[in-house]
Amino acid sequence: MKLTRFLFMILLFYQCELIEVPLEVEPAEDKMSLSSLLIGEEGVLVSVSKSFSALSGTSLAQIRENPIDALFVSRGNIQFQSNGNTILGEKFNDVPGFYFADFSDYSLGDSLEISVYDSVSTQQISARTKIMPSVNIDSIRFRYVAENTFLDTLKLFLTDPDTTQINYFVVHIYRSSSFLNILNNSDSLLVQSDSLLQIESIFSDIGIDSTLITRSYTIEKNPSNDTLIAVLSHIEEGYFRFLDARKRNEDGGGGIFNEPINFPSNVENGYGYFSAHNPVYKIAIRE
Amino acid sequence: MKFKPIFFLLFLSPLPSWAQFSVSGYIYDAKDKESLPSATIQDTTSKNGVSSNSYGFFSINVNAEIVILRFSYVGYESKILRVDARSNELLEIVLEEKITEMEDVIVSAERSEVKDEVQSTQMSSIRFKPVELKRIPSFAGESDILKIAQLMPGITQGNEGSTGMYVRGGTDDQNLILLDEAVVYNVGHLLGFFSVFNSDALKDIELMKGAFPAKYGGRLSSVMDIRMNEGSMERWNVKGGIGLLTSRFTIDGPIINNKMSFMLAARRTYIDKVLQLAGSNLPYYFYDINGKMNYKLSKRDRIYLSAYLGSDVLYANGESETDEGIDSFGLGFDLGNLTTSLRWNHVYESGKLFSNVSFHQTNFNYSIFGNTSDNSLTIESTIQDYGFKADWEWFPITNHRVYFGLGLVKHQFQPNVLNTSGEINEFIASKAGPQLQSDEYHFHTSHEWDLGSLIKLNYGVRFSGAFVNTHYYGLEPRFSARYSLSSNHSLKIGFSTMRQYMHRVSSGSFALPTDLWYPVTGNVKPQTANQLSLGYFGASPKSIYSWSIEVFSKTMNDLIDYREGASLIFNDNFEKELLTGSGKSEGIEFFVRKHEGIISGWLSYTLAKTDRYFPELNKGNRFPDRFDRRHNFSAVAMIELAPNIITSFTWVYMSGTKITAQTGQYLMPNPSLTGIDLVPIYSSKNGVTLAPSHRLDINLIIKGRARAWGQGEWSFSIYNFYNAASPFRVSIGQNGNALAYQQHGLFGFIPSISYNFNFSSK
Repeated sequence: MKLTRFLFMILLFYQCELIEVPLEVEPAEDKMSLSSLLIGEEGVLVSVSKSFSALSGTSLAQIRENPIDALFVSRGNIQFQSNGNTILGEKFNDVPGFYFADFSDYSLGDSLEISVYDSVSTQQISARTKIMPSVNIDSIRFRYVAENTFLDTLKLFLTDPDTTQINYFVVHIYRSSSFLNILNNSDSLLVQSDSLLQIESIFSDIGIDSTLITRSYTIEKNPSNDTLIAVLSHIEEGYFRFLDARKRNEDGGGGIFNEPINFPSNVENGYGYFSAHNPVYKIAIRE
Repeated sequence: MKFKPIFFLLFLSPLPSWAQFSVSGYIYDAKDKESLPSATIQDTTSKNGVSSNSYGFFSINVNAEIVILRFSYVGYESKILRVDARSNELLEIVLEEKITEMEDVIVSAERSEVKDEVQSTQMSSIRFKPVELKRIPSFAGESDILKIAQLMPGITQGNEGSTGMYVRGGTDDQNLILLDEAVVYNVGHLLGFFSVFNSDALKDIELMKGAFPAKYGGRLSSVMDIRMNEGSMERWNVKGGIGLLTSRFTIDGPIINNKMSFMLAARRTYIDKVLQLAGSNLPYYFYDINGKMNYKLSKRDRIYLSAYLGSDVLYANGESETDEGIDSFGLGFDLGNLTTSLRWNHVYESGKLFSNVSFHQTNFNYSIFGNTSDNSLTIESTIQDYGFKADWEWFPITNHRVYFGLGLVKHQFQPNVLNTSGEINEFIASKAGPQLQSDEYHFHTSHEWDLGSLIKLNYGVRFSGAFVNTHYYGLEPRFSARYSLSSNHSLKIGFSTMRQYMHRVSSGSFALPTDLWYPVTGNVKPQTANQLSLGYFGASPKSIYSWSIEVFSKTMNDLIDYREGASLIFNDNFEKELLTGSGKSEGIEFFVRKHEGIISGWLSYTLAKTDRYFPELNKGNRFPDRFDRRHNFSAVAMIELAPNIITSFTWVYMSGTKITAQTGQYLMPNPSLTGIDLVPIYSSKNGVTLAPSHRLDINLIIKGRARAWGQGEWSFSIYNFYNAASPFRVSIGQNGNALAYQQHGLFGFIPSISYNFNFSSK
């Protein structure tokens, strides 16, 4: 029987290792990339990084083995322009690649421009974005469904800021209140690890006739006294497209069953997206 | 737009008025009384000739009362008969099979048939017989008509090992595949690595890539018309094969001698059993069952009932340990086709009019399921077609043949029906899924007109439409012509417009069981294609060699593609992911065949370019199609080493497919500020060409002696003899100490053995 099995395996599945063929692929042009967040009306935080080879690593763990200067622009000259004002960006807490500009002494217009010059590579990028007015969350509450054992429904209500045009939004819902640190403490760069992101959702008001926009989200049920924070930003269409591409990529884009996605960009001579939006937040407590 | 019958009558002019006689009848194989399609019938005096149709029926107009007719067919002894044309009797001609050392040759090879191909108006067409295909090396020893078709000019293989056909720049869902007039939607088993067609059950296959006759439509790029064996009217035949992965068994014979016959063929793979023997566990198998009944109601009437049932089945079950103890689970899928067709052939009293009326039904469905002791989930999708077709062939006078007909198909689609029970229902609610319906219809008419020794025309029109939540319709003109340079050389031109009222939604690179067909909608218009082809066709004086050079240009409109990153699996709102655009394909095809001799076979080379334009893709720039393989070369040779030993070789070379490869990346904080994203940068769409594929397959057949019970033969084949990788995708992986782009092939050196047998009652 063993011999039979052996013969079957030989006959059926004997394959020498396939003679692999190397492939030369022209690498993408090295450019800077930009991302941003407007912190209320106090200022803007941007990150400026560098693109690098696809062969440098396929995961963050592998990428981190590269020198930081190969990944981020740590000696960039950042300038913002708005409403005739020129504001210089400064390094943010010595974190490589992160820059902050304080707008509290300036009156901003409708748009914000940025230009970045990297003295190491001598590359320059620029971008322009519309400063989107913030939109408040009217209310946020749980919807109780008795028969549901595992899931809760959270409903979010907001007022359409302008029914004469299409508006785009992004909402993040976190569990626990430590997220507030990012807003209240300028030393805090990223959300604390115990602030679990429950929902990340982009949506528009297309097809909604009334001024009231209602969004429902299903989240995993937690024991009583659950605290959730919804953070809403009113964003421009280009950034909405960027976030949509990001979501598609997360859902498997570039994998074996999905087409790859090149993220859209409004950065001239660069990658990423420069967007200025004012996030607002509201807390919901489930008792 | 109203269909005006007067338009049809115009086809009849000009018609000369001298008296003529008509000789008509059927032509059969002498042993089994199987009809012989595309047999040649020639008036030896006037040299006029006709071919029998796909049911073996012929009608030839002659000027004399007594004529000498010559009947011939590939592999059969020709017959010459003196016929009284005044008699209105339907002839029944039987031809004896030719006994030769090399009993099979490839692809339509009797000398008169070669000449017929050169002199007919039909171009861009290939006809082959499955019984001959078994000589060609095959994947895992399983003869496959779709993989054979990929060795023909103008037909590009998709991914390695798959049955996908990309014909003259079209996509795989632009091929109309008919099995005894019923449409087959899913033509692949095991993710498309095997076709659903058991070659033992098939009699005749015609593949058209252009210059489509008006009776065919519904797809843009090709029509593959497959006919099953009818079953012997006189004796019982049994044949089959036992291989390492599959086995086949076919039986046919008379139910009532010379009146009614049947054919039944079955095939099953036992990958599951073999793997079990080898200590692995993959509870997967597929099977096919083909059946046909053939009833001669009268001399002028025949009824055919055909059916095909095939399925891919995977069912795994077991037990797992949970916190609460042991829990049982099961998961798997079941997907398959069921097609049936009922046809009635009638020859009208004059012998000049033949009709074929058919009712056909196709059901394609899949079911994917998973269950534990407390929960279950099932996803089901179904396509159901009910159709009716009526076609007439009219032979009014010499040198004129008129075709006309109509058809109606009701398509019902029910995709992604989801049923859940247990706790999982809270997370995934059951839903019925959308129910879609499309009623598709057509009328067609065409006229074949032999103007003399130099020029022959075939022109016609098809009018088609579909009712969905709107009504789409359009004209599809068809035209082809032949200019005869000599009896062995001709120039041909062909033009056709095609319309397609449904499309297949596929996720990316692979055909999946979850790929679904959808009809056009108010937002998704029918796809259309216009194709022009020109060709030169020739044969050597004794027709041992034949050759052709064809150039083609095809433009396609309202093509479907998907937004970047589109998620199509189980997505009922996939319409939002669809984009429309256009495509263009141009190329030149060379084909040389040797039909007879100790060495026979063919060489095929295609040089073609195919691209697409979708405003929302690739920043609005044109981009190459994924299967835009610039060069495509095939060489097939069969060599008779001894009367009972035949070896064959296939060598293929194809330029690499096109992919969108990752060319860079960058870091940026994610919008939720919970981490850093690694964002990929890709090349332009399909901007990277993979390495060319090339492969050598070898086959050796050793025939046993003819014995009392019948005859057997051993077949040994090797797929990918020198183990070259045919890249189908790229990933980034470790190569020594560094990362590198890796091109992945699928199949290496695969040997196989099978034993085939056949016997017949006397």
